[in-house]
Amino acid sequence: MSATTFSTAGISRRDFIRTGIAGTAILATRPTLFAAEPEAEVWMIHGDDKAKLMTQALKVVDQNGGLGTNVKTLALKVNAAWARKPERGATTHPTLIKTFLEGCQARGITKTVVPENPCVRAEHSFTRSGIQEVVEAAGSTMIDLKSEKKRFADVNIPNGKNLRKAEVARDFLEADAVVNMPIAKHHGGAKLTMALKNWMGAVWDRGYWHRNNLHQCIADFGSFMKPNWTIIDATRIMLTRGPQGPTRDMKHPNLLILSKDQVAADSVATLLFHDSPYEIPFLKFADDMGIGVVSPDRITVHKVEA
Amino acid sequence: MKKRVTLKRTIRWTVRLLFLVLAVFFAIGGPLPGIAVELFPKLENLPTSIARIFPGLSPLVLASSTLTETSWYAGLYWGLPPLAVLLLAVWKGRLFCRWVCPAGTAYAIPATFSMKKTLVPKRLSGIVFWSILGGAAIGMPLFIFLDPLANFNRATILITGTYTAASIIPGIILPLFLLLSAVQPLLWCTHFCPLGYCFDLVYRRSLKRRWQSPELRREVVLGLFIGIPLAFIARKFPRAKGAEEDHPVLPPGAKDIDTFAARCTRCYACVNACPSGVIRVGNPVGRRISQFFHPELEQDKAHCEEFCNECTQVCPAGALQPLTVDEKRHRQIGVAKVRREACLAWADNEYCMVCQEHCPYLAIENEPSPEGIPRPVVLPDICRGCGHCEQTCPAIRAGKAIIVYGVKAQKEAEDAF
Repeated sequence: MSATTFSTAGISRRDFIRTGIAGTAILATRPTLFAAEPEAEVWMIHGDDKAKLMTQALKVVDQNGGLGTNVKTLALKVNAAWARKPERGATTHPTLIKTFLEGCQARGITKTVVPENPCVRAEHSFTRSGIQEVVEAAGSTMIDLKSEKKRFADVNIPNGKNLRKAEVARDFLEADAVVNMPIAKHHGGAKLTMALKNWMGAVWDRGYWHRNNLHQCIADFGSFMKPNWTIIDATRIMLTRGPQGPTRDMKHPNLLILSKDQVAADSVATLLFHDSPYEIPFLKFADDMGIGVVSPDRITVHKVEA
Repeated sequence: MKKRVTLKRTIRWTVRLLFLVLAVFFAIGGPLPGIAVELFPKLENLPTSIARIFPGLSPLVLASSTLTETSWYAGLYWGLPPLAVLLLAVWKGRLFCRWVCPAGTAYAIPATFSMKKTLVPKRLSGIVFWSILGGAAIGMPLFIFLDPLANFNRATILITGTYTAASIIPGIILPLFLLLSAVQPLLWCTHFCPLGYCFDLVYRRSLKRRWQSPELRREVVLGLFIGIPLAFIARKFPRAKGAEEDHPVLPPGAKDIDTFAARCTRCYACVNACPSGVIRVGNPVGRRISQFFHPELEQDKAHCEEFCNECTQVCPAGALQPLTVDEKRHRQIGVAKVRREACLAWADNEYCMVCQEHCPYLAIENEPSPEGIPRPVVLPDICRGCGHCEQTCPAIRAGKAIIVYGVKAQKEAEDAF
């Protein structure tokens, strides 16, 4: 939400990060400024064909302000953490990534990067998930953050409660636009993993989060990292045994969930698994901190058929 | 007296140095110079099994492992080169030592400017050789680590960055004899090398003289007299005291802890081959003599990758059986145990489950607390002991809260999916 406001005001993401404290100070006051019921828009795009789904998603993006103003570089956060085949639903579907990156090129974005700190060595996770192949074929660059500690920069998270500092991959801080493209699935510790939880693949020390109330840390990081767009892959979802699987307990909603507010996107995606987004502790914390819209009453859902 | 530089000497040294470079290259696995890859693009994807070529040339290892296991382990393909080396020795004696052996070449370099002093007057190679064969006959060739090719390969861990404090002692043997060779030329080759002795023994020209000499009888008697009782002691007495915790986690493909300890030549090809760096030279503290310095998995900082079988492709001694990726995925090399007193979920009521999250085999179940906080429980029949859980466990207050313990004998684990 906030990042969008800035880009419409003619300030790019990069300027926003550079302004640092000033920027975050404004950010900190924002929830109180608009304390009157902030609302969010979410698009649920339905269809069998994954390429068509993403093409439709990009159309929605175009109609709603695009990926940002004067965007030349873009960092895409996918989920390529596990050595699992695409159909298992542990990683973002490669076809979606391929169509998205091609769409970026067509929109004049000269440089795209796909950085990821995988849980399994990149030579297994990036390849078996089919993601490295499509990223390279689309002329983009896949970056294995696990092997390069020096790619991370120390950042302060002024609004964080438990997570006040983190080492974040520079690629996400320096790009003109950031898009979060996670997959929605069951998760042992976090209950579900969608957009907010996906950022754990952009930081160096994940252990700290687990030792200091995982759910609070997930929400804390969400107060810092605000992508321009969030596109949740819910074409196939694991209902148990996540985040790695494999499991036979799967559903195929054939959905993309699209929003400028990653919290709202998570809230809508949660309803594929649970009755209420408030069943997920990190969404409850996100709501308390006012970093996005959780309450389904305040989210306008547009259903689109691809 | 200065030796003349003749054409034959030049050719021989060129060939020897070429083999030396190849042996180091195969052992450490690259990197290749760019021009070589440009000329032969296929070179970039050389199989890991090249690490087996040099240490696998030794007929001594072939004989010792075959005796130990009382079965032919090497297969036709990998069994032929050492047999060819043996035949070469029948025909030409120690030709292999002077042309091919990378250790021989390494020792020959300081020998060219040696002080020519006598450090060791008596040749011990015969005793080493016969004690290896004697030990192998009862299943424990204690001195097989003195095989020169294993010895050479072993020293390469000092330059690959996989070494630990424990690897210095085994790794130092070759450098030590390099120094000694500068005092007494080729001290290793002439006085210690069991393989060189073996070549002398089978050389057709000296066959008759050798086999009739009283020296041979002395060597056989002394070698067996040392090798067999020591093997019995190593096998029978200092056995692990039953507790499962005492077993090291061995690389996949090891049959059981005793067979592995006996057959491993400590060439460390598997240590160098492991892309994860989880296979390390074992710390001898708390181990039996027969297990000293053999490769083990140290899983607090790395884990055995699900779709990887590289270590099983390089063992020249058959201590690790070759496994396919699928066989390796199902191989149980250890079992994880949760230390509840250290666990973030069990002891500190945190949402964690990082162990379950990372387990590739679905071997960790969730047993929620009354407040609904998920807590990990290991399913021991499904756990492979890969150590992904141990590596990623974020607990630090009382150390890692999940630890993998080795199994006595590796087996196929059940599939949860």
